[in-house]
Amino acid sequence: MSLVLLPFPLAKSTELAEVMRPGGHLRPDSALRALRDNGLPAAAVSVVPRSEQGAKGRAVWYSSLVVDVTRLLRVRDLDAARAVHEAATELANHRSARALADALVGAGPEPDAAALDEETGGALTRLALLTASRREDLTARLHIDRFVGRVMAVESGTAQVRTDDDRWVAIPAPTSARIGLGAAVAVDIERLDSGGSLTWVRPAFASDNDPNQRVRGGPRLLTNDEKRRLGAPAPAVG
Amino acid sequence: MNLRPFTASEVDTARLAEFRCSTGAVFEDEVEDWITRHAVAWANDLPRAVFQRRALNLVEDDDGALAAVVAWQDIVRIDRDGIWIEVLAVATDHQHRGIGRQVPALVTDQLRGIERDGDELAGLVRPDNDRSRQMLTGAGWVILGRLDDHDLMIGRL
Repeated sequence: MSLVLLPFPLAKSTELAEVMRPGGHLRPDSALRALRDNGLPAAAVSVVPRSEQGAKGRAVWYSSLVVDVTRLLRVRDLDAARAVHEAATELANHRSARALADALVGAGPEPDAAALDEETGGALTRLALLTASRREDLTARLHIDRFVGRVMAVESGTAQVRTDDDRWVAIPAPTSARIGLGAAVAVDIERLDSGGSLTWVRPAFASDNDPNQRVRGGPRLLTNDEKRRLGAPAPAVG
Repeated sequence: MNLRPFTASEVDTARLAEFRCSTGAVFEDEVEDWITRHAVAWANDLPRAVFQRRALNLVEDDDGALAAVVAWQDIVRIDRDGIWIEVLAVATDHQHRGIGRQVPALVTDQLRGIERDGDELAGLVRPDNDRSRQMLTGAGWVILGRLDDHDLMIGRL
């Protein structure tokens, strides 16, 4: 029985701003406005009050697919952005997202994924699996290479990541305090038209294993072939 | 036949503990062991049981005898929305009486009426479990692939 690593399926507007303007400074509100002005409004999964100041003191979580929408808007691939936006909006309204919304309110600004998953009965794993599935479906439109793994060493600004398929990959060491030695990470390598690339490192987590299920094991994504077969006319039951 | 939810009553608990569905095959022993020793914990495992909408059910024949045990929940093991059949087992004293065909139909009728996120059905069957595979394929299920050393089977409401 192995633990499956899944990218954290939620993002905040600060991350959207970083992706919208790599290396620069952009206010989170400006990133959200740019999305909205292009017909790509980010649907909130959860609004977390941080103080009694109402809307001025709050954190808002979005589907992590909005990160992809933001990136695609930046490179002006609006067709792809709209396709991903549709999936992001659908997932923001999924039952698993609704189950997470309340739990996020009490989880603090940097929620512990394992605790959040436990508290919600696996809703985080569910949303993460569906999010990964949508990204797989849209992979040809995302212009990225991606993998998940664990940070095994950090030295001189470089982190060595052991991927879930047992490769070792060097990436720029994440600056976030959340992503240290041993942390699970999801890495997106954005291919630029110039021939260069940008590496984005997001948190990942090990999905919950249910001790009471009849057949032990974690979730898995269906293969493209399996999805194609399910897309055919379904067998009638009964 | 009648399908109803398992209750925490002494009667239901005792009937579940005494349920027999194995004729000696290892995979049948595993199912019987899960039903008699783990199914109640599975159904009461909060908060998973709430979010995953777990349901443990008894199927009784016209005389009230326990004919089958069925447990289902929302699909969480794969990236589809619908109902996951955790277990569907016919009691040994009700096997070879056509109940293996009646129970899936009864369950399907029940599932059509419950709140759910999708219309797909999914479950795991050991590759050497010919009887269960035949029961499900007879009800329209197909083998989609493999998951944790089992055949991943898919049906649809």
